[in-house]
Amino acid sequence: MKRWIGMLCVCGLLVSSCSGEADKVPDLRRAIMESWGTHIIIPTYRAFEDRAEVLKARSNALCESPSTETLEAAQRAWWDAREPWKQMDVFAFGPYMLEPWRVGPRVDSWPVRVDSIEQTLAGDGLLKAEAMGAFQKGFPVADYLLHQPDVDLVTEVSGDGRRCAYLLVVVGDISAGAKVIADAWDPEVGNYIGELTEAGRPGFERFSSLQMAMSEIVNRMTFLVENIRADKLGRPLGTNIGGGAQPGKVESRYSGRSVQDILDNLRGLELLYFGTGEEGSRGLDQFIESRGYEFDEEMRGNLTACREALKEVPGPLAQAVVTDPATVVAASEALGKLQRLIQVDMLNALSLTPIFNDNDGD
Amino acid sequence: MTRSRGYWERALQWLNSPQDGAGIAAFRVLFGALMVFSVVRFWAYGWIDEMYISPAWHFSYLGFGWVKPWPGVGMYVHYAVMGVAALAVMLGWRTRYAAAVFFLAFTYAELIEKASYLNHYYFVSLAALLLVFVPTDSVWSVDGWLRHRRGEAFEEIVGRWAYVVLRSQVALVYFFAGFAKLNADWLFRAEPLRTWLLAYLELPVIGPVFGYAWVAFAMCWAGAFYDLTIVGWLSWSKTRPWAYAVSVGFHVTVWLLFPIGVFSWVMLVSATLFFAPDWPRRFVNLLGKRRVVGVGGVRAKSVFGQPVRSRIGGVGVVLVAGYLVVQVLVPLRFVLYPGNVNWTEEGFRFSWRVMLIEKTGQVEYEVRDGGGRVWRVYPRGEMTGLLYRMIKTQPDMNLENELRIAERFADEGYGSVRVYAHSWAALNGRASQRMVDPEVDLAAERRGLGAAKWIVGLAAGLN
Repeated sequence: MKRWIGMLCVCGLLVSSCSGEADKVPDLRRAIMESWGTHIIIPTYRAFEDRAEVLKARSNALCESPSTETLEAAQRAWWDAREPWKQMDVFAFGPYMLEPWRVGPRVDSWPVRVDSIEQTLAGDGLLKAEAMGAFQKGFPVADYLLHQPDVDLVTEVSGDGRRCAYLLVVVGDISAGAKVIADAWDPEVGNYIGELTEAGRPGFERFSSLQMAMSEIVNRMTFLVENIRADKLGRPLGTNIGGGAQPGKVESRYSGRSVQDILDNLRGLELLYFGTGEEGSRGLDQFIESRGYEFDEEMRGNLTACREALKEVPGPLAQAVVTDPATVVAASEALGKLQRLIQVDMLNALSLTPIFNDNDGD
Repeated sequence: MTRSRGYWERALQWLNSPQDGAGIAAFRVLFGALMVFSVVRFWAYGWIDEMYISPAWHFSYLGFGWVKPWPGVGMYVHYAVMGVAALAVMLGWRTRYAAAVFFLAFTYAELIEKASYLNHYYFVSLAALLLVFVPTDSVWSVDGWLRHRRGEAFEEIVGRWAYVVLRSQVALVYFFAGFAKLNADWLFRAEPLRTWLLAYLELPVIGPVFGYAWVAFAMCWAGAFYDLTIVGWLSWSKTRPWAYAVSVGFHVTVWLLFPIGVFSWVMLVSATLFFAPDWPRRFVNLLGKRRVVGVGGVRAKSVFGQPVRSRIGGVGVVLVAGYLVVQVLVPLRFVLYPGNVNWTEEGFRFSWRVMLIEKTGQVEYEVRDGGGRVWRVYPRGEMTGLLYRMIKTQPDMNLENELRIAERFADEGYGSVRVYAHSWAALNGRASQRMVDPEVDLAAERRGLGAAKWIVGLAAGLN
């Protein structure tokens, strides 16, 4: 029996050598996620914050001096503010969805619900962002208020002031939301980026390990592409209801920015994969290369194919799904190939499949 | 004739020869304790709700579509009953009834949702079933203590057959786990282990070692050798201590590296069945001052002088042999299906094919009705994360989902529709390829045990 105890002790020593807590060992995954934080997430959300502030200022200017010039300036500001915001769609988790931040639904619940907006405009209640539902504020509402067709918007904003007051509340809330989400990720403030780069360490338990944190992001890349196909293209095409275009279901319906929104989504994805090109910027490509795989060429080819297919979509998406749905279907198919590359090939090579609960690998 | 009858009688005599019941009693206690822990853990993690209550529907095993979750708090009651039964097994109270209740409750829960299939859950079901028939309450049980209080005959021995049955079951698990590893991916590409190990490079001391390909190869070959031979090493008294030490190292390392729940501990507990039957007494004697005696100890003569009460007869031997034959044939059924079993997964379940595949997939459905209308169905939004992960890679669940979609469309008044799958998958680092033939209307297919002709065969190329 003593021999048995001896054997078990030896065994325990061997096993304990693999059980130490992951400590300060450099890891490429950590380095990449730190780089994403430094070069992509924080600067892009700060850019969003700045541009949202510009949108607020130009909306104020529009309301103070209604004119075609101030209207166009406000419209441009709305368009510009969308760029960094849509590039960050891949990070639709954490501060985007979770309380106490939950900035995503607050800033960008779409498709727009015109009835809800018109009701608010027609009402006489106090216009207060905190009291408004997700579909009564955010980018889609500002889109409607700044781009509503068949309406003389300059005259509208010069009227009784209700439209302007509503617009100012909405853009003010977008601006506030932008600051909330930028602060939440910022390591100097909310440090949500630490949940990725310090995953599994004390105080950072959202993800149990670097592998799980990395898995979340790469899986989010696939979700993003599928969401583009299913929600941004599929629903307006009517494929969820068996045909019959639904132009009212497009994102950024009134500004006609729908396709540009998707292109911005793809740009965000491209930044994650290849990095920004700045010194010290890292991308997922480095992690893939470290695992002995090579997808750069396929990734570039797929991104190019997606962009070219989207460029073939004539005019605003809301119109194209009615007049030339084949081009929209072709864009969806190109995106499907991109989705497959990430969701099937990359996830397999990196073993980044999310784990729901215990499994024995079968 | 006379000679064969002689063999038969000698075999029966051997199977009923007295053995100390302490070994299988220890197995019962440890197994019961692990099951209590498992039930508490499953409950505490919120998996009862996540697995059985939240999903609007479940993937079923062929022929078991009638097994459904209980309404309301029924599944919580179900798990409470399961936990109490496991506790009763551990304590040896009404042991066989408790094992039967645990077996039924556990197996029912597993049959509700095919997506939750795990090899060790299957093993737990089988082990619980065997505990219904094998006498494990002769030692260290409430039943035994009550019998002793009632002045009934002292019985701490069991027939050898009890050990033979349990050991055979465990041996089959190990053998087929090793047998399944004898494939090119495991032996010559070290996949998927190599990819999995790379996720642990951050571990101090040992982590960087996982970066070397030869380490993955060594672990693959050693793992296959371990599974195929460990029963022999554990059975031979001279190698047993070393073999068990290796087992501890193997299973605990696997437990630390991979999320396999209680599987490692179940197998370590099961490995004790190969020890000398009196090992628990010697273990207790070593740890404490009080001498616990039994067979081989001061009471040996009186014990061996008594007849073995839980004898096995001819019918029992035939039934046990039949059970073991089934246990051999079921894991081998994959040979009846064309293609690579790790890709088609036909004959994959109930076969101890553990840790063999890293599989990812993408699936969406095209639904067409007679009027020319076309729908695109993206299943991610329609099911839980677990179910979505499974249908992407498991063809039979893919088919079940398509039949469900066809039913749903019929219920919504669209009549008979055709459903085509755009399903892609990748196995163990290979490039992605179609898993399901997109030209086949799967709504017209039927679930069955036959080979699925709509599964696209695995291409040979590698990345």
